[in-house]
Formats: sequence, C-alpha cells, structure tokens
Amino acid sequence: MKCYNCGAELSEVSFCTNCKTDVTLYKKIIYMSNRLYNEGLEKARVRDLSGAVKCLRQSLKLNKENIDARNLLGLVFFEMGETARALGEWVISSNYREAGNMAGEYIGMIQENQAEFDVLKRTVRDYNGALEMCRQGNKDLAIIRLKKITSANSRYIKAYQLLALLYMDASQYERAERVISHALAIDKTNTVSLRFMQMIQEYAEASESDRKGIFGKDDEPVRFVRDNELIIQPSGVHEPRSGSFGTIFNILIGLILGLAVMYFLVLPARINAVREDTRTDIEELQANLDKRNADYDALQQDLNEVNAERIRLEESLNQYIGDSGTLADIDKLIDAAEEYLSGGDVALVGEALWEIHTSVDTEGMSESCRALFDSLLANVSPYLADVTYGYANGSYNMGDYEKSSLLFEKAYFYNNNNSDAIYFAAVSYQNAGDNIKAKDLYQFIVDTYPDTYIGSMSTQALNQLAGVNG
Amino acid sequence: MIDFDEELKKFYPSLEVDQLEEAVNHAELVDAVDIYVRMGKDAAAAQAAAAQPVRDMRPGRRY
Repeated sequence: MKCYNCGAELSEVSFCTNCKTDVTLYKKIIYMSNRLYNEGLEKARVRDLSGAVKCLRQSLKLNKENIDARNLLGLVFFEMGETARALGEWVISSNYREAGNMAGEYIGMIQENQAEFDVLKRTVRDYNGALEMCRQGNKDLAIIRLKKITSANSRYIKAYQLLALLYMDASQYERAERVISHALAIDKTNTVSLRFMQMIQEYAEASESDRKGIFGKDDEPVRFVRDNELIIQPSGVHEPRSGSFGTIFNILIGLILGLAVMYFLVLPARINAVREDTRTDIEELQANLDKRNADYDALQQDLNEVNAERIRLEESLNQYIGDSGTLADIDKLIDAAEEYLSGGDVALVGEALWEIHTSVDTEGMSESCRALFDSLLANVSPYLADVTYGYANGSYNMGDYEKSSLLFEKAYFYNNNNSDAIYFAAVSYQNAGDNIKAKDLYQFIVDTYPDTYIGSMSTQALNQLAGVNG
Repeated sequence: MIDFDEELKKFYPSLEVDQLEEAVNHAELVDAVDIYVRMGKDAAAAQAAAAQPVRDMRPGRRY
C-alpha cells in the first residue's frame, strides 16, 4: 500500500513516514475494499453472482484501483452473459495496471476466438432487439428470437428472464419455470429470477387448489389472462384423449405410411438396383458362356484335326501292317528273294512279284526295296514272260477271256516290251465285259504306243466303247 | 397476477460491444479514496486560509 499523497510505501503506523500525512482513514478504506472483494469472491464461488456483483461494485466504489475486484467483476459479468460489460471492466483494469494483469489475458482469449466472440456480440444485439419487440407488442417474435439467443449463449441470464416473463404472460408457466430454472442455475440469488420463480410456484399452487376445489374434484374453471383477454377454461372438460384404440390406430396409420413409403420410394430403387445387379451378372455369365463356347469350338476343331490325323495315321499304318500292307508286301518280297536265292521255284518268285506289283505302288517303295524288286524281276522274267504269254494265248483261243486277260497282263509285267500282251489283255477284258478295265488299258496303250498299229486299234476300240456307252 | 408491462420496465438494453469505448470513456470512476483525498486537500486549504489575518471589511473601516 502506497501513500496517496507522496506515493511512498506505507508502514504499519497510521501516518506516512515520508510526508507525515495521516493515512488512518485511507487504510481503512483500502482494507474495506479488500474485504468486500473477498466477500465477492466467496459469493462467486457458490454461484451467488448477483451478490458477488454487489460486493465487488462496493469494493470498487471504495477503491477503483482494486485490480482483483475489477477483474473478478468482469468474470462474473461474462458468466452472466454480459460480454460487453465484462470487457469494459477488463479494459479499465488494464488501464490501471498493464503488467501482470489477468485482464489482458482475458481480453486476449476472447479476441483469439473471434467466431465465438461474434456470436456473443450478436446475441447481445438480438436481445436488445427482442426487448424492443416486447415493448412494441410483438411477443411471439420476441419469444422466437429469445429462444435463439439462449441456444446460442446459454449463460445469458437477462435473456432467460425476459423469455420467462413472456411465457408467464402467455400463461405457459411450465415453460417459464423451465427457463427460469436455467437462469437460477447460473445465478442462484438473482432477485428477478427468484421473484419470477416464486410467482410461478404461487400460480401453480393456486391453479392446483382451484382445480381440485372443495371436495377435491375438478369442478372449477381455470381462469387466466392472455393478450388482455380473460380466458375461462372449464376444468371438467378435457381434450379427448387417444386411448389404446387411438394408439393402435395411430400405429397402424404409421405402419401403412411406412409401407407406402417403402413401396413407392424405397422398393423401386431397390428393385432397380437388384435388376441392375442381375443384368450385370447375366452379361458376365453370357460373356463367360461365349468364351466357353469359343473354347469348345476350338477344342472341337482340334479334336477333329486330331481324329483326322489319327485316321490318316491309321490308314498309313494299315498300309504298312496287315495282310495287304506294305510290311506284308516287304515280307513277300523278302520271301521271294529267299525263294530265288535258295534255288526255289521261279514261278513262285514271279507270282510273288506280281502280287506285290498289283497291291503296292512300286514307284513309292524305298530305294533298297525297289532295287531288290527290280533285280528279282529282271532275273525271273526271262523264264516267265514267254511261258505266261503262251498260256494267255491258249486261254484267249479257248474263249476264257477272264483268265487270258490276267495272264496277258502278267506277261506284259514280265516283259513290257511285249506290247501285244497288253493289247490282248485289253481285248480280253472287253470280251469278258469289263469295259472299264478295257478302257483303262486301251488308253494306256494309246498314251504309251501312240504311232503304232495297236495304238490305232486301241483308239478305234475306245471310240467303239464310247459309242456303246454313249 | 403478473403485470407484464410493469415487469418489462425493469428490463434495460444490454451494453453492446460497439458501445464499449464510449461507455468506458464516460465511466464515472470516482471512489472513496478520491473523495478522501479531495477532502484532505480541502481541509488543508481551509487550514491555510485560517492561518492568514482577518481583514475588517466593515463599512467605514480603513484597512
């Protein structure tokens, strides 16, 4: 504590040791201010905000430079929703002492959260607007605005009180009680709030006793004023209550509406979604099926090719194996060679070579087989050619054309220089009635011996056969 | 029964933040200390005045 006269630090004595000024009363004023601050602090701690405001104001009236008291007063105002007044106290406090003052921090905290600060500013402005509406008689609009204010700033006591007043004026005492309870939760000893609560409770008790009447029955009408009109509500008449039937009916209506919503809104969308899914699945299945079909076709084609190859190979194999196959012919050729080398019957060798000649394309034989065949034929043909030709002539003269045709062919096989043999073979076939074979041989003669007598004779025979067939 | 109009008269507009500067500037910040100091100064002045000789200002008197 400093001397108000010279600014020197005061001691315990009742005068300033520097300027000798009597500071007895001054000290008492300062002590009293501090005491009131302490009381205000105690009240604020138990949410007696109105009491705290009174104490702190008195404290500041004694000593306006009581920084703690002024800062606490600002806090209390802020808690009551009076943002501007709180800021005012903190600004004044900062002016008195800038360094080490919590007020500066409070102001900084508010300024940091600009969005919330804007909301608080707007609620104060809206409250003033709502108050003006009340004075102009626009109570419904004022109620709407005050509801908005209290939801945005849940500590605004004055807004709660004004809203409670409006509810009380509209005889909505339950709502008024609820609203004023909010205000009392913030400030427990606010005189206005307590008075409103008392009025509400008195009205509630009065209406309860009126409702019950002397015999405890609801025989008295309820009277209340609304918009300067006395409204008398018969207490014995009640709004028709919806009983169990009504409840069931309402549930049924709700179910029907719900089903209708499902049917008209939800179900079509769901069906479309399911259809879309199904269509997608079908498309995927179709694509898979097409792919499988393509694979199947490819496999079928491969199978056909494999079968064709198999058949070709079987045919080829059959040419080599079996009684008429190449292998059998080779066996015959080898047997014939053995027969010839062992000094056997030349006729059997020749017969074996003839069979090989008629059953196998000797031009397609392997080189070694062909060489063996030609060698054997060259060795046996001189012995067989003329003999066979003689047998053929004998058969021809006897009219056995079937036998003579075969023997003439064999004779030509053993000696292909004997063109008469092949010509008479053709004639024998013609005489035996085998015109096809005859034509083949005539054509062979025409091609092989074109400028010979038998060639011209064969040409005539072909013309004759063509005329017969034609 | 509640008298709405009478109750409404007890409500005053809240101080808005825009009005804060003006409110702070016009705040009457006189406390008991100020009064006490002023009283002390006045008392000192009165004592100083009492210490001077009183002149006779009656008519006909010379001074």
